[in-house]
Amino acid sequence: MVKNWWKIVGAVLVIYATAFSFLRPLEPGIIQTDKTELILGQNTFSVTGYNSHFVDCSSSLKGFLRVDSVRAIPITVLYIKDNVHAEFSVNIPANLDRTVLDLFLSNDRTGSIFLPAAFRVDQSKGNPAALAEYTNVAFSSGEDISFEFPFQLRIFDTIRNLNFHVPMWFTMFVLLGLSLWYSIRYLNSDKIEYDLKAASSAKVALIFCTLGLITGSIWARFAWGDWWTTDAKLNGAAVSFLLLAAYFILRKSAEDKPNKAKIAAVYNILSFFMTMALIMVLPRLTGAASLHPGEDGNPAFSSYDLDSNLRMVFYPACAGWIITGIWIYNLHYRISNLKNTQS
Amino acid sequence: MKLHRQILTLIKKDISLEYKSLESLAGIVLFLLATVYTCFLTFKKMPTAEIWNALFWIIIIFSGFNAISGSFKNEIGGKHFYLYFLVNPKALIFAKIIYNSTLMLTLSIIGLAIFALFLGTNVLEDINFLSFFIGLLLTSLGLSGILTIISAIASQLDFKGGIITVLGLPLLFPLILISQKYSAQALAGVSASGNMNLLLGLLTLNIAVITLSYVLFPYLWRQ
Amino acid sequence: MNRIVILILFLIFTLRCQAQDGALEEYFFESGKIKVVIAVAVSIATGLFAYLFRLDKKIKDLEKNKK
Repeated sequence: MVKNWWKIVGAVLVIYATAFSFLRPLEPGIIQTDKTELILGQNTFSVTGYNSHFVDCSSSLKGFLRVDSVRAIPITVLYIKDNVHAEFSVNIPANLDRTVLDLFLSNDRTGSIFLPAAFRVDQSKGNPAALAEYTNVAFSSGEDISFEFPFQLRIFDTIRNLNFHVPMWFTMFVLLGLSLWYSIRYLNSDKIEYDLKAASSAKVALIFCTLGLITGSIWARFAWGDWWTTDAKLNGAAVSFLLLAAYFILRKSAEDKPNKAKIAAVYNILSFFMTMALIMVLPRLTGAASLHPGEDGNPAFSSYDLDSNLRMVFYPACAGWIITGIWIYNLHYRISNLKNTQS
Repeated sequence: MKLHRQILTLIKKDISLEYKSLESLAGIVLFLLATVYTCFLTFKKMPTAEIWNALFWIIIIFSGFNAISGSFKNEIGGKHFYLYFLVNPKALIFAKIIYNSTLMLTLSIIGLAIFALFLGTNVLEDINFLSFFIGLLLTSLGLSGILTIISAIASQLDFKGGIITVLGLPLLFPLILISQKYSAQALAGVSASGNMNLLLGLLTLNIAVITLSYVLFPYLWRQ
Repeated sequence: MNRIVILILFLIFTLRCQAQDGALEEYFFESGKIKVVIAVAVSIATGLFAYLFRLDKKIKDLEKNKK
């Protein structure tokens, strides 16, 4: 038991991260409105919220359309269908100098929630109201909940995937590093156990790479709209997959050769450095925009890049999966070692 | 013998061997001609600069595979042991890389001429030739650096069906991505100094590839 | 064997999805796309269990050889 403490730590971290990824609520927000274009004068529209507690706090529900940093157009509640659906009406004045408006709603529970660029105003249609009516932009804060996942348009609940998808890649990198280390040691020492270790960790890295590709593909489909996108990170992922697969094809076809382990080690070292060149250097050189967070060109992610709440789950998830990956590698190595000594 | 003398002797040996069997070089040129002509037949109109660039690099990669994959054919079997006792493996890898990159450069210039012949010169109107040529030179060097060590691996596996493309293509990814971006700029007329970022990237990659081949090749050679 | 079955299932899933885009989107998008997260978590679990089965088979082979 004492000897296995690190395996227990890994298991606990993975269980903690998985449980928290599902248990904690997403911040309230607005998913969509039924129309995106308003005309001058009287308009009605309905709003689909998320965790928005329209019924629970119906008495304090209010909202406005933001024009600029000070001015706002008030909206009135017509009908609350349930906690996430409600209808509103708004009177758009004639002398409006902006065409794009943000929608803000608030109640005691959720505080201010908003949908950026919710409406465009078509100035050529409708009967303008006689009097221009503006109020001030005012934010309110809701109940304080200790941990919530940040609400992002298009991403919504799938932000929880961060704790599943990204640790797969981190684990793969750690295992690739391990594989490189053992390949170098094999070339310097000629001990067959190092070759087995390099092969085992590459095998487990391939498994995590595949899982990372599959989870990333599913996530990309529902956040960006495609199973595969042209993204600098995806190039790196594809090439590490191809190189790992080629490494095993090489091992298989060199099975009966006396210097099989040496060839495999040379190829492994070569492929590691090429993968690193592709992942680390190329995106910076070619200036390719990435949809992934941490790079520019993705406003949807920028606001939570350093969210401290998210880190509380994300770092343990990474650590837990890395430890689990090393554990799986250890099992794989022990089996291939047994196989080697038996035959 | 000194290292550079050995390198020179080995290059001379390769050139004389190539000269004796010119049909293999002719075969590669014929491959270039045939693929470009296929492109000419399949494209109803002249390709845009983007497509031209992509086609050019794909065809150059595959003729590189054709030209370099067999570069250790003469060294397996009995000759292998003869060479093993005679020369330093470091001299051998250097000689092969220098010879192969010269071959690649020649091939890509021939390829450029064939492209101009069949796919029109309108893409080449704004080209900055010096910049494009530097790109070709550095890419040939990097390409032959990777492919030489891969063909050394393949020669140890008796060139089992198609293994060299499976092993080599993913390794060429970063090199081809950079040189493709670089040559696209050169085609648009950007000079080498205006493209310093990519040029330095290409140079660094070349240094890394050649260092890796230099360090790793002796392990393959010593059996 | 396991791997092939998984690959085929995944391919069928992909093809199905492309055939009926609208319905799929509706299914996954209701209630803030939580089903996407479940799909991701399930695919990780499936992958790891498929690997466990392979490991199990390997150990069985070893035990057989020992006898």
